[in-house]
Amino acid sequence: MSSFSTYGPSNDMYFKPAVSAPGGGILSTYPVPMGAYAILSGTSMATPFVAGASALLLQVRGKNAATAKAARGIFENTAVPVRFNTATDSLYETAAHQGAGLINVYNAVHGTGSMLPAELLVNDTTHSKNAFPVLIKNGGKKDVTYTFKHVPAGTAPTISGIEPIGESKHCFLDAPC
Amino acid sequence: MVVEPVTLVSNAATVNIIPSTLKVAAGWTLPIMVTVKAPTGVDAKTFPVFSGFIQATGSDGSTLQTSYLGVAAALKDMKILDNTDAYFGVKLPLVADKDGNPINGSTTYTMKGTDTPLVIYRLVAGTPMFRLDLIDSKSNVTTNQRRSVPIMPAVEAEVESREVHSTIGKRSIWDWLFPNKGNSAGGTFAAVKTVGTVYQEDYISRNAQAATADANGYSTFPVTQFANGTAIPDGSYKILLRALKITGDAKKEEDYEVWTSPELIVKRA
Repeated sequence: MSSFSTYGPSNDMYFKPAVSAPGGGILSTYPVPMGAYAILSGTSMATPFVAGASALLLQVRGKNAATAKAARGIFENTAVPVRFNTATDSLYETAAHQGAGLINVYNAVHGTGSMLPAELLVNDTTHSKNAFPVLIKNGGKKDVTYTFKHVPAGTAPTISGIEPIGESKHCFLDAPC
Repeated sequence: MVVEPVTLVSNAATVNIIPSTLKVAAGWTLPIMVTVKAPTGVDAKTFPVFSGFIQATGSDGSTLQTSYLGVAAALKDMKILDNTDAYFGVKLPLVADKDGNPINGSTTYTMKGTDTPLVIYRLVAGTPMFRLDLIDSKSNVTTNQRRSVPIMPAVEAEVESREVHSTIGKRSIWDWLFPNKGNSAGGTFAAVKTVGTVYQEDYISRNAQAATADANGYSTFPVTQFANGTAIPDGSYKILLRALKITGDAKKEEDYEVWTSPELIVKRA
């Protein structure tokens, strides 16, 4: 994940972010002098990917409220989780950073199945929900046998003492950035 | 600015999926049951966020997944207010005088120009409701920020409902406009007698790890008038700062982190 991608989840454990999109070293039709194009990094480079993916989804599945309401779940159902780093034995990145994973536009647009709910909110220990019925829909024309597997992401400690972990460190008056 | 990713640990949730394989006929929808238990061997004081993915691989080569997320701690235990001196070298929250110096005892303000009390605070966690009130200086409302345990022990007498999400109820605009009218409806928060509300904001995020207020490293609020625009009459007050704990009940005083300032005397020249 890019270092400028912020972390969720919401303060009360809603699933945020939903999905991730490419944002590091993105080439686009942003003209620069001498006839070249710019390569930039940032969330401003990732958001057009999601907007474009949404446009394709609406175009193929129907430009209506039903598609729009289903979009988040469709992208989450078809996203591909990424690992924390490029080491082959690396843990998967926490969903608090990547959401359901990297958006896969082709599978989102052309898939016929669904697995809902797409987010299972366990919440905290006081309000914990532990059993989730999940509906598997086969929207295709042939019978399908599904095999299920649990893929855990790394667990993220988020507080040290009373301070949040991560972000910039040492940005205090007695220890400047 | 050094931005580091949050280091991950391998302690994973225990997940069961029943059944482990499922044949779904064309056009059909069938249920499975997924159970998720929080990981063990993690320190709840670090509020470990656990997550993962339940992947379905189809015999036709298709894939689907659903994602889970939770925290292996009670959110209500999360500290909201920085009550240490780590940031400024002097304990927060504090009230500053017109020269920007923290006040330690009774301080007089003329309310002219910048001679108004400035509340300085730092949120180490977001809060669903943040409130500044003025109380009479002789009031015996005290802070729960000087002790290692809250003044009022958590009263968890009610059976927890099966609500999946936080128990933040809908707070009506009525409670905000007329904070003391909640008296008859019960609620220890509204029962705290205040002179008037200076500021309230709902669902604010924590401050950032930054060195300046501009970068949201800390927050300030100048107390110049009541929130409804009326002037603060000459008199002797304290500032009552209350920040609701995450998943706290807005009606319960004991679900807030509470801080009171030293005495402020408003005396126009």
